[in-house]
Amino acid sequence: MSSLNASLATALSGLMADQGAMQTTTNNVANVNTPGYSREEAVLVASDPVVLEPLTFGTGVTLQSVESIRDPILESQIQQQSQAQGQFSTLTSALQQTQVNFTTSTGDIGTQISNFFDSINQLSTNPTDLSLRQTVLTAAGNLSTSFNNTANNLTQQQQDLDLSVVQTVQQINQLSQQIAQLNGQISNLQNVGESAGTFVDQRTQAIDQLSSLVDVSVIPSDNSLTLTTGNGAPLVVGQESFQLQTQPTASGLHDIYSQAGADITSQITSGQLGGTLQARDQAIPAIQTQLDTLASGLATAVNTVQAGGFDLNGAAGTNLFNPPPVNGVGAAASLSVAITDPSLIAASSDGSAGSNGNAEAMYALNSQAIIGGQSPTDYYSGIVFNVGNDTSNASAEQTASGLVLQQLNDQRSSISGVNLDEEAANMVQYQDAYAASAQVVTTINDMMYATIQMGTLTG
Amino acid sequence: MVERFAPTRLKLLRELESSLRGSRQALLALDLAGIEQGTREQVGLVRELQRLPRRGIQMAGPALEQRSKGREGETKKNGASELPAWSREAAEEVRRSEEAVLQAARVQAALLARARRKLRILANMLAGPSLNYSCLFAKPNGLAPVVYGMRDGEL
Repeated sequence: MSSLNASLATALSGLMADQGAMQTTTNNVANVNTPGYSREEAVLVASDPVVLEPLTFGTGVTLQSVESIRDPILESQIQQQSQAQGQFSTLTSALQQTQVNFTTSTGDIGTQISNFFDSINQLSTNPTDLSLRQTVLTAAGNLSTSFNNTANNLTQQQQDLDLSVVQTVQQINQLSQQIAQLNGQISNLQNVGESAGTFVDQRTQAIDQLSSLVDVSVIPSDNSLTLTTGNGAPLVVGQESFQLQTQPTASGLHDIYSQAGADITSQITSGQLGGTLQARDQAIPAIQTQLDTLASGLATAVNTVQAGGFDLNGAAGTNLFNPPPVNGVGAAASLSVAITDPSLIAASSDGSAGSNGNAEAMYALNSQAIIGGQSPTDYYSGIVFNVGNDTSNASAEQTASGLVLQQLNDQRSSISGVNLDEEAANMVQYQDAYAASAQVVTTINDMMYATIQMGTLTG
Repeated sequence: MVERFAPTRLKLLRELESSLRGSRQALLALDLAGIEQGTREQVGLVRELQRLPRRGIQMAGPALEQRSKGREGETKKNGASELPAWSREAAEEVRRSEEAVLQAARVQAALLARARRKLRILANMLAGPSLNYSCLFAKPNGLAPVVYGMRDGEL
């Protein structure tokens, strides 16, 4: 038969376990508003029984562990959506900045193309009028300036994005170090059977932040985890972090290298870094190429018509625009007017001063398919449409990611968040259990007293 | 033409936008009945919109007006610049509403793509480890193949 002392020990185990469980509830309530906190649950198990033939007696309860409530699949989905959200918010922001260059205004390329051809149209009504000739030169100058400004703005934006690439890589490296350090702390605690819930929460938050910066794959292992970029370049392995590096290329823009020295720039497709690279290396260069094609095609076509006509002095026409580079690269940034004397505009088609045949031919370029099978205005409209369309698509993707992320975060809150009603119920439950165990201790104490008294009486 | 059909077009566009927003909520909640109902509504509204004549409305956009400085004659020929001010406002409102519908449709498409990815992952999980992943992606029509006795479309 079990002794009173054994019963006392059993009651004490109840007191200790309920106290521990109460501590867990207290901690949950205290962290109700802590971002990223996962609620903890006390895991109580019955202690190993004692066999005293022919009976078996229970020996109370043990607070086996304090577990944080998490859903790993949900965490993984959140990290995935954070990557998409980071990518599209950066891309949208970059494209919106790009779009400003193509907003209809007095100085935009589309308006300047119209002004240029309008001025030629006016000149064709009176080809000997020097003021109209000067207007054509001014419009050509404005058109060149507009191309130059837009091209320079795009280059500047590309350089700003490049700076952002370097800064983002630094942030990634800091977070990788932090996660490696947390891995060590979690591992140390879990190896001695302690709860590492707080450090796991901190690590989850750090991984969420890292996911918004770059595409990350999370591979859990015993008491630790490994993080790699989407293409497999290691970022964190256990307690060791692997630093990404940036190195400038010949173009002045930075490429990204893994610690092992592999160029992984083109393989980063998600997160803020992926969005920045997409804008820097794909979206902006594509627009620059289209602008160069437009500037080059327009300048070449105008120069060709000029060469086929005669100026006010009856001499063969010379270039109106300085010839663009042969391959067209940089044509928009370098477009400039070649002549300053308005009489050199070749408006005449037969050498006579009053002829307007060549001015009309030049005006006709406005509606001719001279650039990629399209008229200059239509080609420019196509660029504007593409920029607007890309911006709207990126914005829609950003909204969709935001909605899904919000939904996933709500789900995480319902699973891992602290519910005060539930905690209040737990508190009452543990309080009652503690009071009952305390009552058992009092009762056993009385029984012991009675036993001692029996001994005194018989003595 | 504009004054006659703009209010109807505007009403239909607003209903379409509202329906797309409803479908968005249904899709997020994976409420299949809601998604189907929304799609039916949208198909009906699009048909009604297609029955309305479009001529005249597009021509009154302010952006086009600005761009058409060099083509004034051409624009006048289409009658846009002769529209009364209130008609231009109505046309502008229609254009804004069309943009809102387009954006709502883009968001819906992005959400559908995400839902489709999620369903593919679920389908693979349900299929178990013995199934080759690639076969779920192999069909060019995007439909999941018959797995473990499921009928087509049951998934």
